[in-house]
Amino acid sequence: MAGVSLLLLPALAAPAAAWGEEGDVRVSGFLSLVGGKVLDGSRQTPYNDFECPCFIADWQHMAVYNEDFGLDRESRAGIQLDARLGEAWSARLQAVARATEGSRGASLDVASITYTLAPEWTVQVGRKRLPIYYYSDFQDVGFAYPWVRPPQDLYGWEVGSFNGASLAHNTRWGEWNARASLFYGGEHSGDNVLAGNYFSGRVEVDWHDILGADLELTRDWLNLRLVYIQSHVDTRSSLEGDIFSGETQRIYGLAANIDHGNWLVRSELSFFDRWDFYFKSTAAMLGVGYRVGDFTPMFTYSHYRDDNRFGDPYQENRTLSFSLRYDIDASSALKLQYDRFRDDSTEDFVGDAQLLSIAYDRVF
Amino acid sequence: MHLALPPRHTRLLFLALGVLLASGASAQPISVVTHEDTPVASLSREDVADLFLGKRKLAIAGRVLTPIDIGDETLREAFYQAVAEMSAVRVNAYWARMVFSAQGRPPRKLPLSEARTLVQAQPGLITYVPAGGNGEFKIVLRLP
Repeated sequence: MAGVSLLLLPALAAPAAAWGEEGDVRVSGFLSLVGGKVLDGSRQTPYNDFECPCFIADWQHMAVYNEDFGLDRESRAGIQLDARLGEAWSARLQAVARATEGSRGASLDVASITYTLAPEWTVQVGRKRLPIYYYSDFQDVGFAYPWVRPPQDLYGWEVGSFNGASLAHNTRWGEWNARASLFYGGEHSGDNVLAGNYFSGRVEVDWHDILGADLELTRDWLNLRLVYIQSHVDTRSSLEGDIFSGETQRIYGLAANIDHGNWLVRSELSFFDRWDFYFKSTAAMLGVGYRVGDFTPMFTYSHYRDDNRFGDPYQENRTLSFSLRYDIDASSALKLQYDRFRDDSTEDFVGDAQLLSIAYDRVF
Repeated sequence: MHLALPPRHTRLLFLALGVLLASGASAQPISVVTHEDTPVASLSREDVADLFLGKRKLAIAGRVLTPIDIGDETLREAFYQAVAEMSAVRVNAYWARMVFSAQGRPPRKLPLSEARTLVQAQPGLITYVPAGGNGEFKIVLRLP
């Protein structure tokens, strides 16, 4: 072990001052210009209010492509202010502006205060992204991943952020770097665009008593993440009244990623359990890519299936994607992606579709 | 849409550099350095990678060692390839995740000359410089 004079501070010691780090404010941002067009699809009548043939590219914000090329579905820009307020305190504000119809305008997705208890322990209070999936925390930051978007057979749920508190611990176990967090909070969505697809009228969604934990382990070329989240759910429709009141849902997730030489593998499994009162669903994806200089071509397969306790028709779909990322420089990338979506649902759903999309992502 | 492509010869240079690094040969030896008075003798490659990627904090005499990153892209690329086998693009993508998910902030990035001056002036900072003629620093790790 090199560096005999190194020692890790005991967890409950006073906050450690950094050498030579003064209080400062940093501004960072991200931008994704995304365009897409459905090349071909099987559904000829509108799905809810969306013109079809169509492809749902972002469930949480209901970004839906049709046969007209559009830059106004997934394009977005975000800015973050990050202020260090003395030795142990810092504050972050992140605002994201979206072009998506129905979710258009700016929203405050992150507004948090961080307190460093010790080098390995931090507490955050405020508004944060809800880490249901591996990419949840940074799903808007296209530059940080190889595709135009993470596979939508998994990604996107009613709620993407929450208000609450979290405790995080970073440590090293033998050869593994570990990060664990525990979080608690709630979220209210006044006019939920996702739930609006399944219930009539204006749909209000509340997730309260969200309690969750995640663990991320990294060793050399391997990265693993486990997550468990439970919450109570209220769903009310302006036309149907109370749909769910305080029922308990449970979410389980597992992700495994490999970056070995020029190879990259991305995989994730997500299980949603509302079986006691409604349905359960399983979603999975597997992607394999290979870096060739500045290019990263990648094939990704994903699948979603739900089952309803009332024996109603189910939703099932699968997507095969080919994506190509080109790194323009160290802070920007250009991506091209082809998705072949197959709808195997027994319920009336969006139908098969092929989508071509292009994206320009940068961070600054 | 702003597509600032670097000149063709620069891209070729980077490609050549990438090929060299991929074959295990580093383009230039690099020294990881700190002030003479920083109470640390040496660091492992993993220590340095964890420190610059914010995966671990190293506390010395009750204070946390502060990494200073370098703005020179060629040197930066060679450094991260040598300590973490990561390209500068991957390092930036990694930080994009950490920054926007409020998990951390990257080290301050300075031009090489400014980083040299700062690290020479103040104990507790750590940076990397091209090897050779580094008498003014304490070298904590040599990268071939």
